[in-house]
Amino acid sequence: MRLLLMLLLCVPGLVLAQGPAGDPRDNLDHPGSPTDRYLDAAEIRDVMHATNDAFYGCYRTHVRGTKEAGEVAVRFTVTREGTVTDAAAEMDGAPPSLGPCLVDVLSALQFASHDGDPVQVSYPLVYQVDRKGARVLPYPVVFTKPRRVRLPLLVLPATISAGELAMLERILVDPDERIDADRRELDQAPDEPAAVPTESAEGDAPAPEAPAER
Amino acid sequence: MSLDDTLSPRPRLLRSAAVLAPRSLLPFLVIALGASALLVQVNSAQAGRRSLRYRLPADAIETLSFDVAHTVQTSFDQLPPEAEPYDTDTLQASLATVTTEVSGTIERVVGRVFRDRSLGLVSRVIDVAGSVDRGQGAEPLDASGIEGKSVSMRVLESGELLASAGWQHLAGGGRGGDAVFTVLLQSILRLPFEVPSNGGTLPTSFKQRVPVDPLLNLDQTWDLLYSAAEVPDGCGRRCVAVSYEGTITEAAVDGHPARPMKRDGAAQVSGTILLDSKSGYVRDHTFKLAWTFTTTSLRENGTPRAVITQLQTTKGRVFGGARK
Repeated sequence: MRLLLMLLLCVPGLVLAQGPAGDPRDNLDHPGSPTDRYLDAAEIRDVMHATNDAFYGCYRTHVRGTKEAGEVAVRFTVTREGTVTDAAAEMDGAPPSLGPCLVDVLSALQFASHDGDPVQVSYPLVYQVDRKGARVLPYPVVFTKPRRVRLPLLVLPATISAGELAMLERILVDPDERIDADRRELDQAPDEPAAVPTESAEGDAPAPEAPAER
Repeated sequence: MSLDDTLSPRPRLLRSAAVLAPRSLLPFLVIALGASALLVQVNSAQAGRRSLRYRLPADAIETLSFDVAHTVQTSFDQLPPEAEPYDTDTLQASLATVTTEVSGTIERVVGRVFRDRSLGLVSRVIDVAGSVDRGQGAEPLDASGIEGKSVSMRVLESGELLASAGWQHLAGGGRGGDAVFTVLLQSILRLPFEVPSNGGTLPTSFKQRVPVDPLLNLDQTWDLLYSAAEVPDGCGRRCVAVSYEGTITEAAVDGHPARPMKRDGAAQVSGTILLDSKSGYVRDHTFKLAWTFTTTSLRENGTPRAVITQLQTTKGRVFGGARK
């Protein structure tokens, strides 16, 4: 009986002490939180999905059939103010007149303002005609190019040159060799669609100068 | 009264309640009493902290200024055979002693109050100016990579850092975020429960995790001794001053496949915090840190590839607290 009483005393105490836990909305960087000041791929994806109808409008005007639609991918950069610059459409077999229409749609997009570097985005447009009719399908991911965090455990001068940084990386971690090894592994692996966009191998780091050799 | 009651006397309150309540309700009564006792204990502990606290302005943007100077001495203790083709002597010479002086302002605002009353702060680097001297004269600092960047921090009213995010936008070589990194961390004051009196000291120990990116955390343990400090002239009874000194240890392992490294660090730290006694706002925080970092890059089998030792001395000040 006393053991039971002790348990009854302890359990509510533990519950009170811990509180409700594990809600992702409690994360500081949860998308949409007032403490999340950086643009996430998921937020960009949501805007792109909401723009599907406008993309479809371009297809309806400039494309006559599925065969003519080709494979189209759009690329653009989101500035810190949330506006779009450098919008372009990569057309593979699609009518040339489709490109400017898509660029106009992209240029009018407005994303949330953010504190990060300008975000480079790539997004494939999937045009489909079937029994349900013609439409642009929402692609599940957008591909962004995050800036690489280079050697964060070393305290390096702000004025370090790209060549010095590249040399340090090659001496200490040889990133090219590791990236090549990863690519070889990927080439050997069976074809599987990537579930999430991965960090670009090169990032937007400045092109490394040739390291000085002895 | 039974013999059992005589041998193990129950609290008076429980016995009185048992008289009033039927036996079937007794377990629930015990639970309720236990929970109340816990709540009273928690509240009284929180009340104990209130003798020293700093407040963060609500519904206002707080501007803090900073000056920080840090000197980093780097030595390559072990280099791999892969370094042979490169001119490492020149590289070592250019990194041997680097002095960075930075000043600027940060703005912070309470963006969110969490369910446990902890505060979600957004601290943004507004402007930064400074110079970097690598032994060949000072060069101006290009702050374009750090101005406008922000970090978010979740803190208790005592200043204890619970979580933070956004460091990856400041971290990394060639960005110049190291000095600002220290300032942002030091802008959050972890205060003791009270100002030690009669020349005494108050030991405090806490752990702090800084997530640099999803694959790298800096895990630090701070062991500090707090003591009362002299309030500067002109501040009088409107100020409270607390000094601290102690040690920090750090362990970090970078799990990113393109940069397998680990770092062990140890530091001596000291500082003085000046608070407005009425408002609880920070007026001035001066600090010194002397770090010794041993960074090891690792091969795929986990053996060391290269070892670099860095001695980093940082002296800085965060002050102001203007609000708009």
